[in-house]
Amino acid sequence: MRGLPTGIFKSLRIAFKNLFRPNMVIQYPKQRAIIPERARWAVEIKPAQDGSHRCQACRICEGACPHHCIKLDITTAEDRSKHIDHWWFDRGSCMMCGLCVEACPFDAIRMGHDYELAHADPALLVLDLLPDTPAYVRPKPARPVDPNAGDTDA
Amino acid sequence: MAMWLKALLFALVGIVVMLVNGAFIIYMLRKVLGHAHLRLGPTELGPAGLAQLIPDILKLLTKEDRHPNQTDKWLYCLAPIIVFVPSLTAFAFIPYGEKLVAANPNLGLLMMIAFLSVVPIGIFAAGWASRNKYALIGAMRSVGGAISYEIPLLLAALAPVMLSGSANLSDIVHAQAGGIWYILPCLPSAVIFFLCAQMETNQTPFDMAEAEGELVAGFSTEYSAMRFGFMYLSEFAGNFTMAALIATLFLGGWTLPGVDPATMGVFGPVVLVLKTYLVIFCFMMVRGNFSRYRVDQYAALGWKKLIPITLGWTLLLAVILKVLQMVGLWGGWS
Amino acid sequence: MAEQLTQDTTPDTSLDILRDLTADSTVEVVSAEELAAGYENAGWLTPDGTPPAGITVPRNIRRIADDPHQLTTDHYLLNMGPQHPSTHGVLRVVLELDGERIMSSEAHVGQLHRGIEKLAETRRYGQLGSLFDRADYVSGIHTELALALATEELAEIEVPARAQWLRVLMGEINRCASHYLWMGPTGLDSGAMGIFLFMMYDREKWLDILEEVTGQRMMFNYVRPGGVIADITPRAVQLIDEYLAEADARLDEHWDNLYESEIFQQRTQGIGVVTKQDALDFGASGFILRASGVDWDLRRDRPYSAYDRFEFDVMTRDEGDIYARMVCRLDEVRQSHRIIRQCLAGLPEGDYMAKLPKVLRVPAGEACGIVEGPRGELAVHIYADGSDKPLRAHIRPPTQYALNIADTVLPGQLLADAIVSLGSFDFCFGEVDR
Repeated sequence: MRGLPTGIFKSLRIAFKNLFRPNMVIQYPKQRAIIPERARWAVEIKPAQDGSHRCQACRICEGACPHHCIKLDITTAEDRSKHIDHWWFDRGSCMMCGLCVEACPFDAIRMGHDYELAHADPALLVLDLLPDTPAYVRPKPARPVDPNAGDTDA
Repeated sequence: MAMWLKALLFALVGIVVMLVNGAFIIYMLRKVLGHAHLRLGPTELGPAGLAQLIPDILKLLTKEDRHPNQTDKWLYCLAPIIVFVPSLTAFAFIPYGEKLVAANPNLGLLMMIAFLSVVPIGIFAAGWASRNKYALIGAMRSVGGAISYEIPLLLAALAPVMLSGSANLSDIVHAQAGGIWYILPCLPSAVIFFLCAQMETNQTPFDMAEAEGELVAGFSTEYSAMRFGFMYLSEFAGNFTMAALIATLFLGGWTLPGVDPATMGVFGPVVLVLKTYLVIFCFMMVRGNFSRYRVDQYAALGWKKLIPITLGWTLLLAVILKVLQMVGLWGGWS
Repeated sequence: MAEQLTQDTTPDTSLDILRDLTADSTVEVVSAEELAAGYENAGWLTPDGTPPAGITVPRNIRRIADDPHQLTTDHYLLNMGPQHPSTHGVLRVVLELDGERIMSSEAHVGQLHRGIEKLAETRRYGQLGSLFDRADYVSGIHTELALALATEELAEIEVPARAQWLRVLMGEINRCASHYLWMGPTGLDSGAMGIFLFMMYDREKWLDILEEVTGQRMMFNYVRPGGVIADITPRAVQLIDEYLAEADARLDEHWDNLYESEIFQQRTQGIGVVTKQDALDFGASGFILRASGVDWDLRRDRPYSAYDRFEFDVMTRDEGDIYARMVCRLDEVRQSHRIIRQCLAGLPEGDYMAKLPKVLRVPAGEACGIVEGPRGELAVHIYADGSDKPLRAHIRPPTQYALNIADTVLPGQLLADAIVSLGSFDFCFGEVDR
């Protein structure tokens, strides 16, 4: 016959101690976890300081995305200015790897902090982030920007 | 006619008490386990999550009552009832007060344990009828456990019977009201009874029949809807009955030390229920923290340890009592 | 019996391979007596037996013969999994049972196959990390690191010192998080509910730190060829310091809570024994090897990244049972704490990423990156053809090799032990099925 089972009493003691400890629960809809600055969730357009976008429609992000969940529909006008018809982003197939953001040479997109991405309707997962918008043209001091460069509907 | 009405009334009260009690124990289980695990348990519905049970019961009632192919139809339907009814009947023998006892036979203790022993038969029927290997293994384990643990359970219950000289539960309570609680003179019996009660009610260190990590859900794997609800409820009813039996046998039942039983009045049931919930709380703390025994270790614990220990201890107690009586220090068995 | 056993095993080959890996090998040769003693401890009867009539026994590795001195019943087959609540993923085990005793077992894998290795052929080297994270989803940093090591070897990239140290730091944090996700559920497998949630607390702390540094909690995509994508932040250092202050005390409490519990000891000691010989023969690695008495750890014996600059002990146990594996891993968490402390104290300054072209083209050739993952030796083999995509990529998952041992360990045990034994090998089906 072995000695007294002291181990299980230790275990029981810890259980009783835990009754009086603060819990470790974050009650989700009421309380939110702290999301770090770097957290990668859904892709979003990074607004510049004046609130406008900086996407130059270069399509580098399209090529960087391993799952092809970014798709840009672009119309190029005769003066070679670009117009973004749609900036499709499929949240359903995005795996938040952040490669598009790393690839973007113009700092136009970022990984957002919106983590409530579930939808009952799969169609809602596909977002048009920049609908019918002229592409950003970086102002060059040597050659002033033509104010009508963007909105070419032709 | 009056007798008949009275019996019906008692049955009705019993069912209502069992339902309310089952509901409360489920809530208590969630809360106690939650806080012991540094969680919270239900919080959303009602004050402190108290109303969580209403949707739970609604869910059980509205779920599809499924009959898997090839089940033994009659037995499959009958098994939850076989499990449920004895748990309910055993309620009748617990004395809640001076007059508040539905059935008070001379061998009340034996009757109560006898009724509780029917439960494993229902569990076995459920497992057998389900035609599921996991359910069958669970059912076999349940029967094996019943064989191993009901002997030490009865032997452990002998100590209070010897001390009070009666197997009538009311008499045992009265005997304790006059002297001391029997947990003090027969602590080993109390501990062993506690262990065996855990086995009887399928609590975690001994939850062989259910063993959710191993057997999916054991005997109730194939059950759904209210048939499962009955099994679930009877588990908690058995929990309450066993705890109440421990409170009655070892913790003075509905009486308090130093208080005249005649003056307890309406406080009797309150005291008993409080003691019972204290025991259930201990059950839950054990349940939430311990590993499960393996089935052979579990049988070995019953046969090789608990039975010899209870036999030896009961014999020793009997000899001590006889000697004390001969010397004149103890005036029992009058 | 010993002769019978040694007939179908080749004790020398696997030892030779291990010896070749380093000159100063510490592996001992196991004698036939030791081997036989190991099997007796594991509850073996004889390794041979004929299948009973009427049952199609799956092609099995070892099965138990009926003991004429014991009561036996008709054997039956039990499909455990893939929907069983505690097979840790989508493992299906076909068990041949006599009552509750397992006579033979066969594991079926492949339910989580996603074609990661094939998909890797269509991805550029920079994109592979996010894919290989999904292979072993519990320890993503290590798979990424193995991939990065292979790519760097081929492309001859010099990795900055700070990146090396950050890889070690994040790898050890990931190792702790992964170990907690195994120790807790092994307690849960044996029925202890509480320990699972207590250990999740520790895991959450580590995951918070990983999220702070890498941006994700599990699919990090952090270690890349050439370095790491981001530097450590002051808040991460603060979080690590805060947690490490209480970490060792928490480990002591877990020890008291689970490891000292007599019921848990009864459930795990002497159960699921992997003998030293078996562990070597089946190519087991990591904690299974160390718990079986082989003193072997790639971090010390064949250091990669910056591991040669850290002081830590390799924890071994001799028993080879589940309890030994549990203790071994708890000790490893302690050692990881040591490494993390050293990392924070001596993190070198400098860049965290080497200068690389936008599109990395890797010269033709083969390379294999091997790391000591939480589950064992994790290797990524790359066969490059000079383009920006690998021609073929292969992951060597440690737990797939551990899974082979399961079929020899399970027979002779009871059904309840099967759950704990299977769980104790720490399968991660993401990497087994890939």
